[in-house]
Order: sequence, then structure tokens, then C-alpha cells
Amino acid sequence: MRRSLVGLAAVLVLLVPGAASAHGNLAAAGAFYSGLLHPLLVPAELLCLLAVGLYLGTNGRHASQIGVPVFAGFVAAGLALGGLLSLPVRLPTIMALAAAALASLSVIAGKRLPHALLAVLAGFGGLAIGLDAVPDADGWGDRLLTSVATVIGSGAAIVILTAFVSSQQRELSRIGYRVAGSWIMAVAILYFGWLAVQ
Amino acid sequence: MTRAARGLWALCATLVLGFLPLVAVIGPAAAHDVRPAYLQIDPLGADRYTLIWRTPLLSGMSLPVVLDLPAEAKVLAPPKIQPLPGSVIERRAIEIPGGLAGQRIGFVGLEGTITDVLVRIGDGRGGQATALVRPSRPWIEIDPERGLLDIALTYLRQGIDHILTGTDHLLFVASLLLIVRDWRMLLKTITAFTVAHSITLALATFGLVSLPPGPVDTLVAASIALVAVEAVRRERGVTSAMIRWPWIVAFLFGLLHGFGFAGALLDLGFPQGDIPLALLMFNIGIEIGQLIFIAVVLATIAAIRRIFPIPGRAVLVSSYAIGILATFWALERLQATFT
Amino acid sequence: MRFAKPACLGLAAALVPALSSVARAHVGEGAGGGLISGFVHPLLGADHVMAMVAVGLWGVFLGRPAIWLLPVIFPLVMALGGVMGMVGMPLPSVETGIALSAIVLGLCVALGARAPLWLAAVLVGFFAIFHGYAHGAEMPGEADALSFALGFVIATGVLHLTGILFGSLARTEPGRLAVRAAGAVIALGGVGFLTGVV
Repeated sequence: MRRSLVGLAAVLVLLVPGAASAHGNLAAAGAFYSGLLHPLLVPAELLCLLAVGLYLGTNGRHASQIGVPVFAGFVAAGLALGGLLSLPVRLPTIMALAAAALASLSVIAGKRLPHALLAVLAGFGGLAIGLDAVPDADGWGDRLLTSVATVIGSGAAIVILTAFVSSQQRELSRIGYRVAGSWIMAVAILYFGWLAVQ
Repeated sequence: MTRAARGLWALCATLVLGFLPLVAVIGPAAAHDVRPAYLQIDPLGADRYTLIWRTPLLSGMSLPVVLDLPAEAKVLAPPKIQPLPGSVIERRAIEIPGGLAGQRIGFVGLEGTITDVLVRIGDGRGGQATALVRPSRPWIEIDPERGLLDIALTYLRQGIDHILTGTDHLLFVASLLLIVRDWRMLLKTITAFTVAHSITLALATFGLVSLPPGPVDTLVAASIALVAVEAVRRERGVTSAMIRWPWIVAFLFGLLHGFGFAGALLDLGFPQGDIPLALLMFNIGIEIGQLIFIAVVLATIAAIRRIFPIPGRAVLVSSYAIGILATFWALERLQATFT
Repeated sequence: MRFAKPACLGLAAALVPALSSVARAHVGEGAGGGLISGFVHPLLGADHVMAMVAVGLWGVFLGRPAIWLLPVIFPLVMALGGVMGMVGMPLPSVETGIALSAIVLGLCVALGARAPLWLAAVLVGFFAIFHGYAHGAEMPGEADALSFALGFVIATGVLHLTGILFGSLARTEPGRLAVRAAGAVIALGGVGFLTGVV
């Protein structure tokens, strides 16, 4: 067992090429942080992240256990897909906001959803963020590093948000989640309206 | 204690003991890290200036950045280029009718890199202003009167940047988190680490003590491996001085990490006369960066635990991963020191 | 690890924005301007500000469900109004509607009116259309529409919260008087806007 542990650890280390030379590689650090923070700095991705986090958190622990891995997995899938396909420019943003709108709608309504639906919505949100966050760096090494960082960043953010929401379930907090949901929904409505005019 | 752990121990002990004498022997010519480029402007009589433009070498390649001086600038002396280990220095003298104030100096090609440029402008009376130019805004508008606030913010930011991009310092903190299991112990350990690296950072900055960067980096890597080994031992139910009093270890190795921080700060350079301020802000920046890292890591772990049951072996796997990586670094840096 | 979780989460939430200092990504650029102009926009019109605060204040008098229902309904309907404004759908006398909303909502606060929930929701929703319309018509044409919408919705929400916080004074008798007086001031301000005195 111990040997397999060492093997696993070694594989983990080899999977992080950027980390292999701690100093002397500021470029790698830049690529890593730009990927890590991408979902938090791009408004559409942030809204999607917030809405899905609120939605999973208000649906209970079991929902989070399903939703969080599905979400993170689909972020990775979106990053890979987006690198292969060339999508219309605004499509990922539209998808992210659609996911945000659907998730926040169910937060506002305060209804628990069946797990299948929940997984679909979490996956859709993750996919949208992944597609939107495809790195545009030059080398494949940097792109891989940025993508891995995006999965870590969005995964950590959704876990923290979900855990926070599900741990704070007093009445006032629940009101706060609904109000936040309505704000996200309002932003999505405004954006889609603007899009329709364009 | 297993054979593997004993082996790692032996390796680390050899590294630490074997290196202490070497520190005194090997000169400061050892490999440097990547650091900001650096432009020093000093007045040389009316409307005349000397420019010192130092660019770091990235794996033997010079930085693809060209200075873009104002159109009125006349070159008084052709640039003198002097290669140094790890960087290239270019000196020149220019004349600008009307002076540099209000003029713009561009750094063509900087936007394609991730290198920052630290610009220092002397006022000819011994005072200096410091500004940081980033790739997202690759030019500087010269305004010789810069306040203390600007200097403070520049160094604060550099401190945060340095720790958050210094994977080895972060990994050391992470390995400490694997040993420390409650808030009080965490507080003590982090405080000890902070106090220790502040001491050596200050001593090295004022030139009272100096260690060459190569061996320091190797020892920093070895320190991470050591703590990772202790984390594994702790998981196995063994106890030791390091496990019982992690803050002592944090303090001892913190002294070492302080030299690493000092190396980065010395590479940045100082505003003349404001060394204490720059030092203080750089150090505060490091503490902020360190706290951000600890908070994010602990929050993520706590959040994951709320949702999923974390397998008991997670700590063991992390310890092994950190230990392997750190040992690899130690060997790599050891090799870099000799080549 | 036995770390106090909520404290941890809170700290992380506070520190994450600071992380952006190391993000050398260009992701955030350009978004800042739209966010700020969107945020400032609702704060510039005094009539708008007063009506928003009145919504928060009135919720306090209406009691439990209304205190969160109104701040949830308002952004949503306002966003719809914003879309109407963007599309250029004709809406008569928008400015009059906004001034009227300050008068009516201010009066409701001043009188401490306890309207039925549905009536309050319909009333607030009705006026929200005018507020949204006025801002939607001025939405920027270019790419930072999303940030603009985000800033705009956040500012509106913050105004509601201000009203709710101020309204929580109403637990004591002098506080109640102060809140009702504020309502009267808002209504008077509305009259001023309507007649063009202010």
C-alpha cells in the first residue's frame, strides 16, 4: 500500500510540470494564477459560479455531493472542448448566463429539485465556464497549466460557496440567498435584452 | 519508521550538513532567479541623464524588450553593453531638451512578457523615486516627485507577488499545515515563521549578514522535504520534537526563508533613503500573501470536509507528494549550484 | 483538522479579491469601467435613489414575507423594464412615473401603511418598470454591457439594503417616527420632482 502511495504521489508531481521548477519560472506562476482567477474575474463566469453555488448550497448536502464533482468535471470538459472547437464568440457567455439564470430562478423559488435535474444544471454551468475560460497562451504547457488552474480555482470556489451556503441556513441567510438570486437573474435578463437589441 | 523515511531523513540531513560549509565557499555568482528588469535614471547636469538598463537573462536568453525614449532624446554616448551572470546591463547617456519630466519612456515588447520593470529615478540630490511598470501598461510617464505612498504600495505589491509566486515558500507553509492540527498551534507556528524570516530579511537587507542565493534555495527545498517527512511520521502515530513543537522548526527554517526573501528584495533594489519603509512594506506584503494562501487552503479543505468525507489517507498522500517534489528541487538546485 | 470553519470561510471570502493583485491576466481589464459606470448610474438620479430606499423602508412596515419579497421582485421587474427601454418600446411619461413612485412609496412609509402583500408587490413591480426603463435606455452599446448591468443591479440592491437597515430602526418608537419622517421627506421630494421644483 505504501508503495502505491509513493507511486500516486510521484504521478501527481509529474502532472504539474509548472510546479517542477519552483523558482526561475515566473511565467508558469503567471499562467497558473491567470487560470486560477479567471472564473472569479470574468463577470459572466463569476455570476454562473455564484448562482450554481447558491443553488447547490440551498439544495442540501447530498445535492452538493453530486453537483460539485459534476460541475468541476464539466469545467474540465469545457476547457478541453473549447480548445478543440471554435465557437461563436458570445456563445460561452450566453451559456454561462443561461445557467446562472436557471440556477438563480430555482434559488428564488426555494424549491428543491430532483437530483438528475440538479446534475444537468451543474454540468451545464461548469461546461459554460470551461468554454469561456479556454486559455489563449502560446505553448501547450502553459495552456495545460492555466486549464488545470482554472479547474482548481472554479472547483475550490464552488466548494467554498456551497459549503458556506449549506452551513448558513438561518432565516435571514436564506432571505439573503434569494435576494442574491434575484440580482443575478436581473443581470441575466438585462444582458439577454441587450443581446436581443444588438 | 520505515526504510524510505529513514532514507529521506538521511538525504535531508546530508544536504543540510553538507551545505553549511559550502555556503561560505561559494561566491555570489550562483544562479539567480527570474526577477524584474530594472531602469535607473540619474540626472547628469541640465537636461542630461544617464540611463542604466538591466534586463534579466531567462535561461540564457535576454529579455526581448527595447527602450523607447522620447523622440527629442539625443544619444550623447552610444550604449555600452556589459553582460553579467544572469543579466545584461546597458548604460547610456541622453540629452532631452526641456528635461524628462512629463515625458514618456516606453518598453517595446514588454507586453509580450511577464516581466515587471522597476524604474528608479534619481533627483540628483541623493533622493530617488521608484515606480513599477507592468506588462499590461508597458510605459512610464516620468513624474520625478513621487510620494511615499507610491513607494509603499510598490513594495507591498512586490511582497505579495513574491510569496504567491514563490512555490517553494508556499509549499513549506503547506507542509507546516499538515503537521499543525489546531488553531493555537497554527497561530504559534505561523507567528514563529514570520518573526524568523523577518529577522533574517532585515539583517540581509541591511547587509549585516549575507548568504549566496544558490545554497539558500537548496536548503529551503530541503527544509520542505524535512517537514514533509515529519508529516508522514505524524500520520503513522510517531511523535517527535518537530511534531510536538512545530513552531520551533518553523522558526529555525524561517530564518532560512528570510534569506530567500532578502534575495528577491535586493534584486528589486531600493528607493534611496527609504530602505526601512521598503523593507517594512515588502515584509508586510509577504505576510499578507502568506495569510491569503493559508486562508484559501484551509477554507477549501474545511469546505470539502463539509461536503465529502475526506479519506484518511489524504494527508499521507499530500505529504509524500510535497516530499518528493521538494527532494527533486533540492537535487535540482544542488546541481544548478555546481554547474 | 479542527479549524473553526465559518471563520475560515469568511476570511477566505475577504481575501480572495486581494489575490487578484497577482493575476497578470488581462481578463479583468475593460470590465472595470463598465462596472463602475453601471454602479454609479442609479446613484446619480436623486429620484431613483429615494424610491429605492423607500422600497427597503416600506418592507420593514409590511413585515415578514414582504421584507424579502420586495427586494426580490424589484430587481427582476426592473430588469424587464430595462429590456423594454433597450428595445425602445414606447412607455409614456417615464420621468413622471419615477417621481410618482417616490411620492407613493414615500407616503406608504410615512403612513406606515400595511397593504396586503399582493398589492405591495404589484405596486412596487409597477414602479420598477419605470426605473428600469430609464436606465435600460442608456445602457452602453459596447462589449461591457454585462459589467454595466452587474454594477447597476448591485447599486440598486445596495440602496434597498440601506433602506432595510435604516428601517430596522423602527423597532423602537422614536425610530419608527424617524423612519416615517424619512418617508415623508421622500414623498415631498417626489412632489418636487413631479412639479419640477427640485
